[in-house]
Amino acid sequence: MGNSLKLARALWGLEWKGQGLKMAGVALGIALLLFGVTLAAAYIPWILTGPTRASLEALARNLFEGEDLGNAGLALAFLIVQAPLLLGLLVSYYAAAGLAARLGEEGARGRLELLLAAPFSYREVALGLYLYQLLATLAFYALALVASLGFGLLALWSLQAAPALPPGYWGLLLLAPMGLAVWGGLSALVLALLWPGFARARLGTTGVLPFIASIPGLILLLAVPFGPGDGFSWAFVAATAFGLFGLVLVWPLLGRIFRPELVLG
Amino acid sequence: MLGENPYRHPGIKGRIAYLAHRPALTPGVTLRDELRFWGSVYGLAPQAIRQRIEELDGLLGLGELLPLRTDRLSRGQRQRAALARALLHGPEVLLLDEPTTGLDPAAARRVREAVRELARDRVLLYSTHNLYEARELAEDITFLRQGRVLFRSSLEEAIRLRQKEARVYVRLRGNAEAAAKALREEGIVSERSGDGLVLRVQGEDAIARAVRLLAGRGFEVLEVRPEENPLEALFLELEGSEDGE
Repeated sequence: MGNSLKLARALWGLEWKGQGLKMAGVALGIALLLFGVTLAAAYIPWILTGPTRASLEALARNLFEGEDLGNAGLALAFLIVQAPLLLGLLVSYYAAAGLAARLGEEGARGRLELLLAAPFSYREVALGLYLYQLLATLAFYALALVASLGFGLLALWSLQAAPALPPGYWGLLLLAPMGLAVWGGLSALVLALLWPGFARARLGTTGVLPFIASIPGLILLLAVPFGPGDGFSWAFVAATAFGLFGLVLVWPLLGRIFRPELVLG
Repeated sequence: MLGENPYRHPGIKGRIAYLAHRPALTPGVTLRDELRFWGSVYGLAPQAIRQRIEELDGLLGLGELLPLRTDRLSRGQRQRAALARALLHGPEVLLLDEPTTGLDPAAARRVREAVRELARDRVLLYSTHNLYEARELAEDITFLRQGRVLFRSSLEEAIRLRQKEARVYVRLRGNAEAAAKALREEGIVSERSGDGLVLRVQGEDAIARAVRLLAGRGFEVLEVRPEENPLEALFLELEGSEDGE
């Protein structure tokens, strides 16, 4: 594990220098998009159906303890509730597609050969790549979250309003992405190692992978409106359970299923 | 490798370096960052990495390349950078997989010169399909075919084996037909080739005898060189005998 962490840290340092600005730009773009969508949903009357609008108004009243902030309150309620869920879905996808693309690229570029020749076991190399992608995914999430909720917080500050958020929400916001990223990355790693052509052909962004990787994120989207209680705690527990389940299932198998000669082609 | 199985004891790979025919440098970062990355992968401290980069600059002339982005280097510069990366952790064994593939003649020569220099104090395994390069660089050779060892010996021994039946080109000033006739009278078989002759001789002594004979008969010998690379001929012969089995 120590060597895998060392490799992940070194990769992070290098890739941040090469791709960091691009990654930050994408995260900021997504945050802006999310913010724009919430504003549009609140201010353009025909976008939301009547019942959805009514439930959002109820949510806004609940969050802002009866204070009527009008369309701004509606937009902010939508943003506060949806940001972690939509970004969570994106985290699952980013972790999975990013890792599949990384394995494919590392093989095609020839760096995987060099990493396998470095003083690590094959399992440590696979875990190192996985941990690197996990780090990159969480950094991506943190950037997108800070940017999107940052706009929301600025708006709240200007309205002098403070939402009352249950503890489950903070769990969902801060910890659920870890479970989602763990699951997404592991699903990509297992598929890529079992069927190396999958990674070699860089098919990570299409096909079955996004679906498998996104299952927990989709469950979260459903858990908040339909789950028991406020839905946040339930969603947080579900995301964590998926992450843990993935770890318990896959971790011991990694060393056995990694066949570098096939990944390298 | 080095008395250990690298699969079971991956730490041993820290004493080995591998240079693939593809430089495999990370795009978008400078060569200095690339070298720092690999230094940390091999467990070198930042100070040691800086020192090694300076040493390698002396050996490979990296100075002007270090601040450049790796995707802006030429093919030859990239290969030089990859060689520097392979040497960064001071390996005892160096595995080079066709390091001159795709290089222009000047860049290939620089790599060969560096290889000769490096081979002074470490074990160097050089994989190549180019048997002229093998003849120029190797001390020992191994022919592989489909992952099996076909032949293994010192270079000297391999050349001697083949030169028992060598084809040697001799460039002459004078009448090549008359020279061929003179050789035939002494039992040496030859044929015309351009402005010279190709002799079929058995061993180095026979070559010396043919040259003396031609000079004695008044022919001016301008050049003597092997018509074929003995390693190539030996490989083809071994491969042919394998196919015949």
